[in-house]
Amino acid sequence: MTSIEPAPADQPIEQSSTSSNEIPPRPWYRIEDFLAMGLGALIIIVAAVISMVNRPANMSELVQDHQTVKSQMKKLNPDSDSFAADRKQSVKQLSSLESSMSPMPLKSWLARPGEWKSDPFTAFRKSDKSILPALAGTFVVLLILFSIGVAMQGQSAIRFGIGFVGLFGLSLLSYVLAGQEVIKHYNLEYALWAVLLGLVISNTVGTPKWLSAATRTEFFIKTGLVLLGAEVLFNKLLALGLPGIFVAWVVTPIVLVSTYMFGQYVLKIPSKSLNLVISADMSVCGVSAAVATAAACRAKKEELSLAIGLSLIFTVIMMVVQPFIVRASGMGEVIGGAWMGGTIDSTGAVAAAGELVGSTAKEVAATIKMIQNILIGVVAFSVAVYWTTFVEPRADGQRPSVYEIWRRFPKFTLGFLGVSLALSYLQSQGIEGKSLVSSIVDGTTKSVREWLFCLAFVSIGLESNFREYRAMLAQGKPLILYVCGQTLNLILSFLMAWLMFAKVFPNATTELLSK
Amino acid sequence: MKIRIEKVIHLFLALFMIALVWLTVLPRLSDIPSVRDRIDGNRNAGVNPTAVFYTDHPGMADFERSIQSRVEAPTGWFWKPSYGSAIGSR
Repeated sequence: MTSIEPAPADQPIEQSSTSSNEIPPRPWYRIEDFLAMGLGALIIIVAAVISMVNRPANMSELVQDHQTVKSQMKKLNPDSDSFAADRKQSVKQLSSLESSMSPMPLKSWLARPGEWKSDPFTAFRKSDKSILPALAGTFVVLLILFSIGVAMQGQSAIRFGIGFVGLFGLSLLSYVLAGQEVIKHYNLEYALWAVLLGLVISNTVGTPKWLSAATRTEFFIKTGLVLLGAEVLFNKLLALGLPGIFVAWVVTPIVLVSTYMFGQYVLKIPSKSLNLVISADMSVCGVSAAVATAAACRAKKEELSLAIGLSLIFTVIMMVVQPFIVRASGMGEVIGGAWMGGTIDSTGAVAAAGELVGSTAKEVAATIKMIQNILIGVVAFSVAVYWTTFVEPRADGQRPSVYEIWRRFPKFTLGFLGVSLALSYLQSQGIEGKSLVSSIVDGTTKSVREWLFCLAFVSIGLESNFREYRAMLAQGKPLILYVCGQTLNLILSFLMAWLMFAKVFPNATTELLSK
Repeated sequence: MKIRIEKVIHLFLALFMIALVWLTVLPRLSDIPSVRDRIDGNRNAGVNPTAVFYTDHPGMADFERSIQSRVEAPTGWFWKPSYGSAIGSR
């Protein structure tokens, strides 16, 4: 058996469309960024067509019923004793109507292993039914799509296909490891196990050549990010009114920029991209923000996995400690929920921490996190512009020209933002648009995106070397950066939550606490 | 390049450790009362702690609807900046 050594650490996440000094010019349709955009768009269009074809026959009746329930809800008498119960009932009716309006047959063909306790085989059953056919469906869909992508790049689809079998198997195993109930309920996400499995192979026997033919980290990440654009819906910004925007959209950029500057000027972290990925990961929303930022600033693979590792470790600590502080300090469910939502990195951990305080805390925390998640599109785009304009100098040290900036620009971020804007527009087109977006995202793109990120994390592990992590962790600078940045985040998020929900909009707190 | 036997042994040792932890240690940890309470609490509340993005969380749409119904409530209280008007009025 032959093997290759782990790739050198200076191999960036993004490398195809920009480092063209050494690569001969290729037609645009062979460039990875455009292929990622094409595959992402193809998946979204196919999902949209399938959703439209499968719309319920009584769609107009459902829309009518939805409008009726909404107008009844507006007419509810707030002084009535049954106001809260009636409102709850209306919300339930809306939920039921919206789910019947957005069927998606593809959903049953895209799956991932579930939760288990002591028998890992139970991860392959859901509601007493085997998910093996759905996993096979997922495998076939991804294999076909990416074989086409690889062939379009002028490489061997057959070699890719053989390697993809192994890569998919390792991704599946990562999901199984992440599905063990203790691991799952303490938020140790699949990303960690995917990188670990890859590292175990690459740092023992070395990644076999047949497997490395399928390790397309950049391609998986870029396509996954274009699909993630479908979930970045700007209409959700006002979900918690102005207080939500202030906690999620004002504090976050301040923390991001301050942490990055602290890393540059105080800690003097040698790698700007590592500094930026950790800053974004910690201040915005953990894994997804780290992936988007790393791709936008061409971070090294090891830098991305280190940032994710830091985020996951601190998330586990914060999801246990913060609910305790909220309860002990008596800051209340609304301010406490907003504080946790603005600071804990992943949505699942935010909801779990909120649940330990109360149902209102859980809803407020998760909604703040959702609003913060939307920031990811703006952050990725801004980082890409900043990086190509100010960080990457020309050979002569001068500021690059507009053409040069465009040539270097990671163009897949335009696909990410374009999909986000298109689906945000679609969602704003009444309940029919909203249900179409919901069926595209919940039924298709979300599952494909999760798998693509998992495949990317396994690939990162397979292409990485433990020695590089040791070098990056020297002097503990990344850890100090994370701790200092998160401390600032905790302080500013609390102050903003208190200012908004206790001083400026105190009635919002009363309304949110009403049953 | 040929793979040395000690590298293969390292791989199997690592895989053995993973299997040992996941198949024996973690199932026992699940039975510790405080851990069990946390798992059951999350399950009963419909919380999926491994959700990375908001769309990955199964109950997110319901949280959003519930919050929205309060922000857009006919009382309009959510947007009233005066503290006094809310106290004791409900």
